[in-house]
Amino acid sequence: MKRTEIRAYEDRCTQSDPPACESRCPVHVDVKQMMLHMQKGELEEALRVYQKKIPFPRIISSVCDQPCQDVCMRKEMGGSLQIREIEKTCTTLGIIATKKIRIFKKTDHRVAVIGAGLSGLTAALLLYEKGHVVHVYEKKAEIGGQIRGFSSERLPKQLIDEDFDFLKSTGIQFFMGCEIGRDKPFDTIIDAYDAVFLGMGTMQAGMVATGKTQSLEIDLQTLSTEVSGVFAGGSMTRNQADYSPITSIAEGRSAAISIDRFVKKVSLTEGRHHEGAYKTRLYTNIQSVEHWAPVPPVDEGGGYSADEAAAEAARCIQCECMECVKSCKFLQSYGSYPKKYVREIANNVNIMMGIRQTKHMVNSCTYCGLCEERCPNALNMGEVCATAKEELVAKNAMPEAIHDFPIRDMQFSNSDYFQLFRHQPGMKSSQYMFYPGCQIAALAPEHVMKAYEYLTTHLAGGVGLYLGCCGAPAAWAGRDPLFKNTLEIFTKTWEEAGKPLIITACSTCHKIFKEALSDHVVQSIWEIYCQRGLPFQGTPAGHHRKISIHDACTAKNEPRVHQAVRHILISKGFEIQELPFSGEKSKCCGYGGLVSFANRQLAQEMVADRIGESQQDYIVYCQMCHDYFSKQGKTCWHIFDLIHRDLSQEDWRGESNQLTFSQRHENRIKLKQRLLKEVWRDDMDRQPEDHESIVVRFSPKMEQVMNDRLILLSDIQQVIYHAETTNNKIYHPNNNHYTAKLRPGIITYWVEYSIEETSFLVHKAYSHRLEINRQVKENEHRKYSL
Amino acid sequence: MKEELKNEDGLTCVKCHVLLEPRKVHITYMKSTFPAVLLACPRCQEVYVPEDLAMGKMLEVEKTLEDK
Repeated sequence: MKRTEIRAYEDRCTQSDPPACESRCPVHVDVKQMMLHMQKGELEEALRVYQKKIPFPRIISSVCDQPCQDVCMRKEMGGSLQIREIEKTCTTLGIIATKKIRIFKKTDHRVAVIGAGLSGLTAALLLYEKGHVVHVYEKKAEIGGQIRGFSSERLPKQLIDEDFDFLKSTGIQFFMGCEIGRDKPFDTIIDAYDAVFLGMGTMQAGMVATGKTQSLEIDLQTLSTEVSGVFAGGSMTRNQADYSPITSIAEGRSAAISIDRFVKKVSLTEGRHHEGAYKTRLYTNIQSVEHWAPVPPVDEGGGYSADEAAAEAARCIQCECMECVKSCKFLQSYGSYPKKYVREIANNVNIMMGIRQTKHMVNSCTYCGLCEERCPNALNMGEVCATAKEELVAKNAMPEAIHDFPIRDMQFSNSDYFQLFRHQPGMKSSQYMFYPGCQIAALAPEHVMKAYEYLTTHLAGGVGLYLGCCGAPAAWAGRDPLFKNTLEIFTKTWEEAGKPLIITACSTCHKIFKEALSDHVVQSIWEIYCQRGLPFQGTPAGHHRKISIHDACTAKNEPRVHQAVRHILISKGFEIQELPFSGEKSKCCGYGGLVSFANRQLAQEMVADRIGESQQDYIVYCQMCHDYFSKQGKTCWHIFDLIHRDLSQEDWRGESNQLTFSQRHENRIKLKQRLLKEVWRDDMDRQPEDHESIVVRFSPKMEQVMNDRLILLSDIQQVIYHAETTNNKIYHPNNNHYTAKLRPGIITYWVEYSIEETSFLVHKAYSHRLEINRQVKENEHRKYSL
Repeated sequence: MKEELKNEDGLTCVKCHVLLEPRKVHITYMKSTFPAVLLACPRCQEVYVPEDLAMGKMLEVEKTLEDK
């Protein structure tokens, strides 16, 4: 996977971006984490999070101008969180750890800090920690600058002194009562130091730095000035109405970073985005957040008690996106979010290490595209999974056996057993081509007969019929060459037929053909029914009228299909109750992406999630959705069941058959035979294969075992035929059974059977993917054993 | 591998009319090869894999190799 592509995908996911409060805070206090601790009553832990970013916690928690409040997502839902009040509770009730000074490596660089306000002190502290020699010059007798201007009620002197106390034990040298320009010329400072930070007004700084009455120009990103080696910042450089203690701290930090880089002669600008306050990209959906007003402190002047602070912290929404994850069982099942998934998938595919989870993951996406709909930046995890899957297949790292069954099912549908194209009887060309799809033919073949009859009687110009599989299983399995080949065969026939309008009854075929050919050559049969009228008009009895529609995920970009289906149902007298996820935001039933073959449990969870969305019966228009939902107990109906019936004349709520895979194959074969015979008056042209002569019997329980193990009747017939014609079989003398095997592809099938007069009774049927070789090879692994 | 593997049920190769015996075979899957002992015909080498082995240990090994 290409690095640029990976990066582009990753960038779309904002889940790891900070919440608004943190990004708007110029020093990026991790408010969300603090609030999480407070919610749990972990006041000391919250305080530690606070102290990570705030060198003077008592002062800032008293006088912070809290820009975070302005952007708090709670603002419109009851009022912004009282963040500073909670911080104040932490510093008042918690034990404030004395700031630990960590000097990485001492240097000989000398830095002068002029002005001991919050910015100057922060810069001095950080530069000292960087190992430099730091001297602070302050014209007043006390450090602190503007914060000394707060009333003693708001900021008691004791708190200021306590916060600054640790500075005494550092090696930072303070020169108090020393005004630069008056007591000491600026030139001597310039000469004596490698860099200077001016934490004073721009005019004052201008005079100090240039000796002239002019304002000093400051680069806002690096705080460098027109004088090399001189940096300036702090509250005095800003409009006094905008006095912001937290910004002073941030500027002191920025200046320290710049000065450290300046003396080390490295780039001042490299990698410094998001250093101060900025607007986060994180999307937080507050639609379901309820109004909740701030907690009023009982002791009004005294701030929050610990309990009150915890109660106020509980109002924190804990901003995050997770929009896609919230609505997707697949994304939930790996416990993280797309940005991390993309990185993990790309890394693992590219270096081919640790691909175990990746293989599993990319095989578990249904490609329904709901993530793209939910994501504020339209990130589609299906695209990532599909790309990764294709690469793993190309690198031979994807076990073929995982998707072997659906691929063989596809190949069966495109073999002589089922595949067919004919013009309408009596016609030499086709204006239309009906493509019912392989699953309707397998699960509800009578609807193909009825639909074809309808189309040929309602449309002029000839309606050809094409039976086959569109190739979706190959596409979903990441078998690109096989998919392309399947499409080519279809396209050739379609072109030879004069490029008729393809009428689909399966939304997956519809999507595949539209993407491969063009928008204009494909139309759903549901639209035709809308245009030409329904064959039956009767409406159902009252208590059956309310239903919900499950839109097929592969039809998510087909508003005309959505409309047509609804139109049909309304004209049939139904009252539609839309599901929370419908139309372009529909969910997959678990068949998409062949997830049910690679991760059966997850597919079942997807079905459970989807059928649990509403108590109403569902109407679907994809045969697989119908199959999967009804298998897990949901009453649901394929729209064909309603179209092809007069609902007022009968109880249409009949049985919902669960067919085995063998029965589905059988249905396809029979449908082709029936169509040829009844429509074209033609006998089937296919010669039955030898193994089809084997008559097999099994109990219903055995039939279920075969189906669960994906073993078809034809697999059994082939094994027995091979055994009986070659005598390659094993005899069990204690019960007169025989066991035989056959490996027609990559799976070995085993059958234990007994011989009856005219048939074979199956006792056991099983399979394995391991290949057994009788020849012993030299360089064998001994890691695995049976 | 299980040395105690015996043909207790008297399984017979129909083609060669002889009792199956434990034989060393090679198992291959997902680019890995390892030895195993299965009951097989001493003449034609036809092997026998019982259901519990196929659906138990073999399935486990398949999954391990697929996940590699």
